[in-house]
Amino acid sequence: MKILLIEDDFNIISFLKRGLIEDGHSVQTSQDGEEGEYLACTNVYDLIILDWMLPKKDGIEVLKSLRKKDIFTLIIMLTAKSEIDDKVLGLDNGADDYLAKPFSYKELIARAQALYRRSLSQGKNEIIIDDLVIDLNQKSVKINEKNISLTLKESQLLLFLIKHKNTMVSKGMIEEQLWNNEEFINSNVIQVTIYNLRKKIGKELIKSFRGLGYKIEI
Amino acid sequence: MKFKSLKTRVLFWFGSITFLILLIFSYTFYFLYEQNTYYNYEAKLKKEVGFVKKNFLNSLDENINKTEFLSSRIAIYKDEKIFKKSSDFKLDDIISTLKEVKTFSLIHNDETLQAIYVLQVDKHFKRVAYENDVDDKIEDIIEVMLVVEPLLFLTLLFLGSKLIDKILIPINHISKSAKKISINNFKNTMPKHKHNDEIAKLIESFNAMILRLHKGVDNLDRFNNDVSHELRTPLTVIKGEIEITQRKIRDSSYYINSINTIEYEVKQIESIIEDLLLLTKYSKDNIQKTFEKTSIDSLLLDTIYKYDTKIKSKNITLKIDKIDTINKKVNPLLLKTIFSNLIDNAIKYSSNDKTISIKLYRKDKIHFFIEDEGIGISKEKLPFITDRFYRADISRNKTIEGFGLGLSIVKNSVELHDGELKIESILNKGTKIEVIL
Repeated sequence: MKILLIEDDFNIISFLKRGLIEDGHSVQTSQDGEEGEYLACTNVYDLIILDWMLPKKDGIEVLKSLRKKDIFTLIIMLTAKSEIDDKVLGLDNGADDYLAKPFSYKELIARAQALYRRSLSQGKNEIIIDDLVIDLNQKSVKINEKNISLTLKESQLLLFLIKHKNTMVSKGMIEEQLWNNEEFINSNVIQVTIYNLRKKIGKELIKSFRGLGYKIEI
Repeated sequence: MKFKSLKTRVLFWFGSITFLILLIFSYTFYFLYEQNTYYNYEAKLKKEVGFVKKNFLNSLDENINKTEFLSSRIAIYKDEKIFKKSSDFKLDDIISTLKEVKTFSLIHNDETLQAIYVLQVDKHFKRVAYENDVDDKIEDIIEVMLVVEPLLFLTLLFLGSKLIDKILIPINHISKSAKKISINNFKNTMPKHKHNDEIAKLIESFNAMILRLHKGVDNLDRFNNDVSHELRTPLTVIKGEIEITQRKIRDSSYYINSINTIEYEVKQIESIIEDLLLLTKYSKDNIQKTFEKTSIDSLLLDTIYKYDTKIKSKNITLKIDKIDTINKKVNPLLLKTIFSNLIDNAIKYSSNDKTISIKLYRKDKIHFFIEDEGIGISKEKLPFITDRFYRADISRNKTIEGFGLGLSIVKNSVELHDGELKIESILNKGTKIEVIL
């Protein structure tokens, strides 16, 4: 997933970022509400983790203005407030989920993945495209009942393409999505990952358009 | 006697008092009436006697029955003096006795005249007036009273009970609205009363109390929220840091960083708790015991010295205008806290290369001045800056350390010394603080 983390406490950013990157997500961070909102408006993220109390513009205001601008990226709010009214306020204003501090990282990532899965497959645990069956819980991919082993990047790429099914996905988008912006990345790596994925699940499914990008048509 | 409801209690007392009043009234009435009746009766008899005397009798009743005298004591008067009493003669001789008198007679018991008879010479007597007339009247009155008074008493009780009900209506109303008010619901104040009477005043005081409680609970809520917020953030870091670190074997530098982070957050928690304890540990009742003679100037100089590195690192000019030698009985810990919090704030909210000036002198009272050229505080926020956990910067900007307890502790400490804290500030110009002890 490509995640935007808006949180003012440096130490919270630090451990969350390490954990999320270790789990294969790409993370961008912002320490204030205004910058966070700007990033959320100008980039495409799968998920925004948004703290409540932020300098310059607080989390709930950021949430409200993002939803007003028709940006419906998944948002999990983090807050030290635990009053039910606060939770309701957050959810009412368009947050997809809500976690009270101190939270467990495991819970955060489980909720994030559940939300992401729901956005991919309308809540089902399986995505079926022709002969291809992707089990989102088991993280397994089968073609004609035969298990196919995919690397982390390959399965992330597959899910990304499915999320943007029927639309052209450029190499740049893939790079931004799968690899952290800060990492130095050889464009060959992307090419190789796509090549391997296409080889494993069949070239008919992932169509390549020279110079434009790739597309899954369903 | 114990009654569960106010109504029965009031009704009981009302009934008892009414009963007593009725009893006293009836007795007095009866007594006066009796007196009056007898008085009138005697007066009438006496008048009759005079009348009979004057107009000597021509026609007298011949058929007087001598047995009429049997039950009465008899006295025969002559010229208004007792001539003979019943004990002096046998009833049999009445006629002869009466004959002796010739004129008229009065029949008398021990106290009052009972009847008056007039004698016809050599013949019989005629009754002119008779005591039973009076007794009948008094008995009538007693009968009337026996019937009317219980009825009156019951009516009064009934009306009293209705009256109490009427008085209790607004009270029941108040009790109903009071039930709706709880820690979680201060939205309802009591509806206003129609009349501007005692009940209206009661409701007013209740509403004022509700408002005060509301404020108190709000403050407490905010304080709780703030405490939990300030504690939750370091806890989140500690929990997350441990969770992420434990996921796999790391190299030693990772562990070192991780433990340093955790150490930092633990210190944060520790200082929040210490600050909170400092705020609640002392009260007006126990502060006097902790006072000891302290050299205030050296305490201040020690504190300034502690901030030396911070001042130098921001290249701040510290201007010490005046420090008098002052010895006074104070709580040294709290005084040191006052100095260090104010100096720390001045440094924290000043940008580089600014000036902070400090003055300490004695003029009746002890005056401590600290002035900075820092970010200042806006007029709207000035009244709140001594509130616990209040930080003029709403976002609780993490780049400036602190929980917002500093000024609250200062204010509390100054108040414990019966002192005064004056804060003047202009946004973006600087802040002037004076502590008077």
